Amino acid sequence: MGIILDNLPKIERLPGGGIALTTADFLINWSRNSSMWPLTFGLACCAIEMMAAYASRFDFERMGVFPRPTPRQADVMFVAGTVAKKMAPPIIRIYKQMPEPKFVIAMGGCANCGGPFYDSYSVVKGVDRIIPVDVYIPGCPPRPEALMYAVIKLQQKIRLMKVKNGHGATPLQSAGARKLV
Amino acid sequence: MTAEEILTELQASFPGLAKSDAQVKDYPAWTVPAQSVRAVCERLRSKFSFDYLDVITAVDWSGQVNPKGYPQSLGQQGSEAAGQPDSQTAQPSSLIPHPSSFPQGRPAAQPAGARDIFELVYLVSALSTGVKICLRCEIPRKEPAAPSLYGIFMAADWQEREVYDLFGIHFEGHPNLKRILTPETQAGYPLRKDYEHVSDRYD
Repeated sequence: MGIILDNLPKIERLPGGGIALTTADFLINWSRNSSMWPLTFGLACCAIEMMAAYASRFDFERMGVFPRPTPRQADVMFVAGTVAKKMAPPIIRIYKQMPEPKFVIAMGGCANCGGPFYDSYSVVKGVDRIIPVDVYIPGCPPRPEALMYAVIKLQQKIRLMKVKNGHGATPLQSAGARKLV
Repeated sequence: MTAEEILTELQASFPGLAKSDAQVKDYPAWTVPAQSVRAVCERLRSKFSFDYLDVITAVDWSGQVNPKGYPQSLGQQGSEAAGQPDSQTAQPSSLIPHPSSFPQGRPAAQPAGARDIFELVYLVSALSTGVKICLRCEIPRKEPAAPSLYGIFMAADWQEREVYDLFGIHFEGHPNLKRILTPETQAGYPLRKDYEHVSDRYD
């Protein structure tokens, strides 16, 4: 299927070819972090940088990041922008609509902690108040390279997942970081 | 027809209408009593082809500006700390300098121009003739209400909902006057000077 087995660790080739042996964890994690499909939605100016990352100059798709139009097909959610309190219930809703395993990348200062709107009456002080976040990117807004770096960090995190932890949770998630308030 | 000519013609039927000094950009400003806002706009629309409502907004002239609207942990200012917050939400003072140590840019005393009113500001323009007018309308701050422009200008629907949302001004005759920008759970009207933020589940 076009897989270059020679470059992959933990792959054992049997003499004569035709069969390769590896662990289930490795295979599942490898397929997961090679096709991280984000949900297509943006909240504020960070979404412009996110769109630039998808476009030809940065070409996110070469990393397997390909935006999906529905949460049912998405693995990762980029929270790109300011989370207003009015937007919080829809975000929780689409997070719940995503199938497990699901990941969240908080992009930019607003999604991390409220950013310049921390004192505002209308802004959620960080999207981690409503949904669990896997990777935080600082910046206002972060450049597309930063978003790519966050995806690389998330891929590193996914490589630590184990099937026996149930839903393939990372060590942090199996310790309860996945619980919704 | 210039704005001056329109004003003199309208003043015949609306004696409360007057020219105001406070011009907004290139909009000549008129003051208009609250009860005749709708009639004046109706006349502007039907007779002088004013077909575009730029914006409706409001000004709270109730005077002294203090950071009461800030989260309790940041907003205390000397003896003004009326609603003392529970100590759980207060920030550790070592991390964030107390606001009283900040230079106070605003005068502590009530400014001279402070009055206990809201001022509604309507910007209307006639796209065909290019005439623009700013209507200013003072209403009491207690139980503020004004006639709705719904049905005259299409834009009035959401603009009035926004003013209602942020200032709590009731527009009589609006068919769907409910919050538009803030969630339904929002307590109080955030752009009022005396707004005090109540922490909700997202703070």
